[in-house]
Amino acid sequence: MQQVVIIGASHGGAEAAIALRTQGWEGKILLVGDEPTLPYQRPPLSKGYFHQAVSDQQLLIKKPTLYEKAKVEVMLGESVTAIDKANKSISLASGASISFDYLIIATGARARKLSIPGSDLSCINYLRTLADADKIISQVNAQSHLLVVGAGYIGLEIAASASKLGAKVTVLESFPRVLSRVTNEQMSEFYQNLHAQHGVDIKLNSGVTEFRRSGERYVAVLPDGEELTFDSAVIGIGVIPNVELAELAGLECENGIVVDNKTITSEPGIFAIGDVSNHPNPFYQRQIRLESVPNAMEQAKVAAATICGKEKTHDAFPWFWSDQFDVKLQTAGLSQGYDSTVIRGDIAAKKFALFYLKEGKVIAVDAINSPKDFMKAKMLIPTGISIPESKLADTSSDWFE
Amino acid sequence: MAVVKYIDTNDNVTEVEMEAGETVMSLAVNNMVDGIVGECGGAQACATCHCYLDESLSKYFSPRSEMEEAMLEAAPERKESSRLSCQLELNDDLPDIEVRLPASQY
Ligand SMILES: Cc1cc2nc3c(=O)[nH]c(=O)nc-3n(C[C@H](O)[C@H](O)[C@H](O)COP(=O)(O)OP(=O)(O)OC[C@H]3O[C@@H](n4cnc5c(N)ncnc54)[C@H](O)[C@@H]3O)c2cc1C
Ligand code: FES
Repeated sequence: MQQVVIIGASHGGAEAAIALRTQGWEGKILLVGDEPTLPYQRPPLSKGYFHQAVSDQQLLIKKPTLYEKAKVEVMLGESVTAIDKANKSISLASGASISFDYLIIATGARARKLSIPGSDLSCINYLRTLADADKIISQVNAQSHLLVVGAGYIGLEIAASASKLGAKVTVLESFPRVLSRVTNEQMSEFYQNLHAQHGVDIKLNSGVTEFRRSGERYVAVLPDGEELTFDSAVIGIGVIPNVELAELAGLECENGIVVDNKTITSEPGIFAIGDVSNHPNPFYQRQIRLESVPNAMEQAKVAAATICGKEKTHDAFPWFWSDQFDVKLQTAGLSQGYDSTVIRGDIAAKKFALFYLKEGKVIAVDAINSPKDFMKAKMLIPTGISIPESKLADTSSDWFE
Repeated sequence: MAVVKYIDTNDNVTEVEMEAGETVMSLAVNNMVDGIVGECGGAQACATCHCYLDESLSKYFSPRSEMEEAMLEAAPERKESSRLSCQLELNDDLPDIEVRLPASQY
């Protein structure tokens, strides 16, 4: 019987396994993951799960019974050490070798590590897995001081959740504004104010040069020499795609594993999906690598359909969300390369949309507590829309009519 | 045991035994019901779990939040009876529930 092997049991891997079955794959399906748990949702780790609104049972992406129903063999706590593309087999850390007819690589990404004196102290954490989250949460309480290094989405979400739990929170960011890689100045300022209102101390143009133990607690040395005493820290300075297996096997890699619009790598029969894939985007007309659940799910469905001999290409429009305090951000599209922006709505009322334009064309939107603008933008931007800035800004009528 | 009936636009019915603690969305996802995607895992961020719930059954569920209302407002094929199925929580006291699905989740 033919077999599809999937490496990495998370959003991409779990979706691919089930989609293969629903798309009609009749052979075997093996899902191998090195984490000890069944695939779980990562987004709540810095949000609802962190501030204890979501339980670990609710985190499961699919219930255990579904894998049985779909006849998916799940191998957990097992790490794949090599891919042999000539012999179509993989090797496991435990020594076994398993052959495949098709292989899906869904190894995702890992947290980028900070390398400064003291960064290996036990109080220094990274948030990628459930185990990471449980360790961090156990150190956060109303008496503790949490240090967050890096003001990206994950860093800010952790800051918001920890502050909800009553902890004192300081965020250190080396750039002059938060979210500098993904938003414009107005949006950065909005988030800086939001956190300040909730008592989170964000230090910009800052960072950390050293960590030290100091009795029961720890000290962080900032670039200007200031010393901050804290109890635990989370570093959120981005992720690195897990490409090593693919690289060793000789697959083409460049900021991820390079795939086409059917998620096929440079080797026919081997697919790569999710955070680890570098794929073409038809709207932006370039190769991109995304770190988002919807992208991992969509690529999983494309890989499964392609393996089942169906015609399906990956052309979904990128989108993402972030929850901090009482603010829901929904973003559609990628803003890189914009030449002007338009605000629609009321920033002070925490209800507005920020449109990014390039040569008169809308290329992305950040919607703050404005789901309607987000939904419409997500549907319409991919079709190529040029809307006068005055119309985008005028809240007395819909911009999309 | 009560069931949830998922009815697609061609009137095909998929019947799934209810489980307390699940939502109409998660029950569908865990039983391979075509037509409910649930991309955001219930964060009210995607609307790929859009369904129609008959007026007569709405009393069994909590009403739409402001966020749900706003998401649905822009959802394709929006109707009076539209709901986000990730917000429809199931418990042991419910009778059989029937939801209709839109032609496609975008
Ligand atoms: C705290 C946090 C918050 C987030 N919030 C959001 C959000 O709000 N919205 C959103 O869209 N996205 C969010 N993301 C991003 C989202 O979680 C990722 O895009 C998604 O998990 C990608 O799925 P994936 O399957 O590609 O990879 P991953 O989830 O990274 O999974 C890869 C899996 O493969 C395993 N693996 C790697 N190498 C091997 C090997 N050699 N052998 C066996 N197993 C291996 C890894 O251990 C891991 O379990 C968040 C991420 C984090 C960490
Ligand atoms: S699952 Fe995303 S809104 Fe319901």
